[in-house]
Amino acid sequence: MTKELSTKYNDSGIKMFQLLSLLYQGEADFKDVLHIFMDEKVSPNNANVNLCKYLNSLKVFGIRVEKNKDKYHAYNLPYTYNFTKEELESIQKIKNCSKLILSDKAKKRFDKFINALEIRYDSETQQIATELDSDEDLDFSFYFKNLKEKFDEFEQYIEDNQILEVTYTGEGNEEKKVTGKPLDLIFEKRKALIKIYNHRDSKLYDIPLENIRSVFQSPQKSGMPVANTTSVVFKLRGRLAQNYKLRPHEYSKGIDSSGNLIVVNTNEDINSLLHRLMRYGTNCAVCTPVAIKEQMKELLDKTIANYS
Amino acid sequence: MKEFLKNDTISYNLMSFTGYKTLILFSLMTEGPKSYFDVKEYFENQPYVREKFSMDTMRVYMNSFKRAGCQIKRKREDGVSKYWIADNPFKLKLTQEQKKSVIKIYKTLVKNLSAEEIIELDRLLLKLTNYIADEEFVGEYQRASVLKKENLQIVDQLLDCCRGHKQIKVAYNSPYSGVKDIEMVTKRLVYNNNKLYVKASGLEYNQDTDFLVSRIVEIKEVKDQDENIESCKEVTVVYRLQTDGHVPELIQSEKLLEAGKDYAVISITGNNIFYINQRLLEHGAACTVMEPEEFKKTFIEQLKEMREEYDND
Repeated sequence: MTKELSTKYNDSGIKMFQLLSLLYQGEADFKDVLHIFMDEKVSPNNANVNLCKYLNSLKVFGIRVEKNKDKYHAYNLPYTYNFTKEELESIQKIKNCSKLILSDKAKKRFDKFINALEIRYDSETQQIATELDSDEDLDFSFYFKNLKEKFDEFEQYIEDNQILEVTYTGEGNEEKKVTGKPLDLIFEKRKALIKIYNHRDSKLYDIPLENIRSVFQSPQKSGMPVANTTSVVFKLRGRLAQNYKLRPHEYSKGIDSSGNLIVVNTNEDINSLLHRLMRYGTNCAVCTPVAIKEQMKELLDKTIANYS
Repeated sequence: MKEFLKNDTISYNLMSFTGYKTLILFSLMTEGPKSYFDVKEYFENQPYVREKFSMDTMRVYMNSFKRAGCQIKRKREDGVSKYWIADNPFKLKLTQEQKKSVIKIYKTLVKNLSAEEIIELDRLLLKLTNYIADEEFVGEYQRASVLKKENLQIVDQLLDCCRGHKQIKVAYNSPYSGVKDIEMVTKRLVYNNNKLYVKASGLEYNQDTDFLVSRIVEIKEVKDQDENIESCKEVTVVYRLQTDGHVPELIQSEKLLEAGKDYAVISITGNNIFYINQRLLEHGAACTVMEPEEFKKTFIEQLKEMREEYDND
């Protein structure tokens, strides 16, 4: 017969866990903390006395609890994480990046996670973190600092989901216009770009924010889903055909009779795609659609014209 | 009470003694597996406790832990039961939105950081998946991780080698000739087009090459750079770049020679003509090769050949 084990527990232990749970949130409200020690048998005065006893237990154990404007903050909690200097530098980069790419609402929620993480630093990690705080090299927002206002502006456009008419400068300072639905802000190779989908030509445009001259927000909401962006088919030859790694927005239609790899690209800014295909030199050629082939020809003609 | 706090002397009437012992036992059991005898000995010698601790008492405490949300595990070692807290309510948690934000930030950062920084960032996220213990988050991290297909041990070794510019011999799984030994002098790791490469001077052709890290099966030999190795012959190409008023983004092998209002004159130096060629082609019509004449001639011929491809349409 299996021996029945006791299911007895101690109430003080449970209360200690409740108190710690509140302190692990980073900021524990005095009322919530006091509530742990109140029940029908305990008067508010006694609850206060009990709270002080538990706070003293924490202190003797080595946990520092500070009260500021009816909020408790704890340091040196018992269950902690250790991070190296390199890991803390990565956390710093995450924090810096969150300032740039998250909306205000998402940022507030994300900060709670960072706060919860920092509360769990062990003493060694806290020490390293203090020394790192002044390290400005970790702040890559430097690259985008002049564009912060534009980030906020475009975040709002994306949220509003209204059609935008964007005037920007393309290559050779040529003025260009695109009308479409703003989809996302992208940060790539230390450049900030807005992704716009134009329903008319079914193309995606990645426009560097620094190139944008003016924006007109149409009152028209964009209800149409983004679908069927222009598919560009290109072929690759030689070693590149064997070595090419398909991008997430690409698929292969296999090898043609001449041994060329046929690739279908569905979701890339056409301008970026054409410049990427230029890299492959004579090992690459656009197959369809005709309009994109024409664009590629035009790009090559302009490049060759530099030498005439 | 104030007296207590000032003097740091212990008065059991002014603290929750059970609460205090709860903290001690919780701390001991999160450190790792502990037998009843380990705990008993600890409590008997703990300066503020110094009292006997029965198995029944320990069971009562463990019942409290369970009620508070802890997961307690037990294992038998040399005939003795050991207990530890495998999970507790204080573990870091992420909401759905926070998970999305972490992954979004990660994906953005890998497009903007150096390979070394990306590796550190990935390590951090891997560590967080252990701390957070949320299967959904683990799955999202694994899908997003740029190192998911890499052998992390080889990545670590390469990082070390690159820091000291060591000469190494690796077993490399070439797509053309299968697994073969390649000797190289390591320079740095680079992350490009969603792939991790080691940039190195390959001794076979005596030129800089990007070797895919995922194709390195094994690092067979690491040594200091052989001084007798003939240094690779370098080429410098000068080109004019239409900048449209923006600051040109230079790569490590480039130097800014002149900057005008809407143009820049840049030199690029390397021993692998193929990479220089790719770099210049990517600029498209914004780039005009200036010198050397021989390179310029080949470059124009290449452009014309590319254009001819479309002549038959």
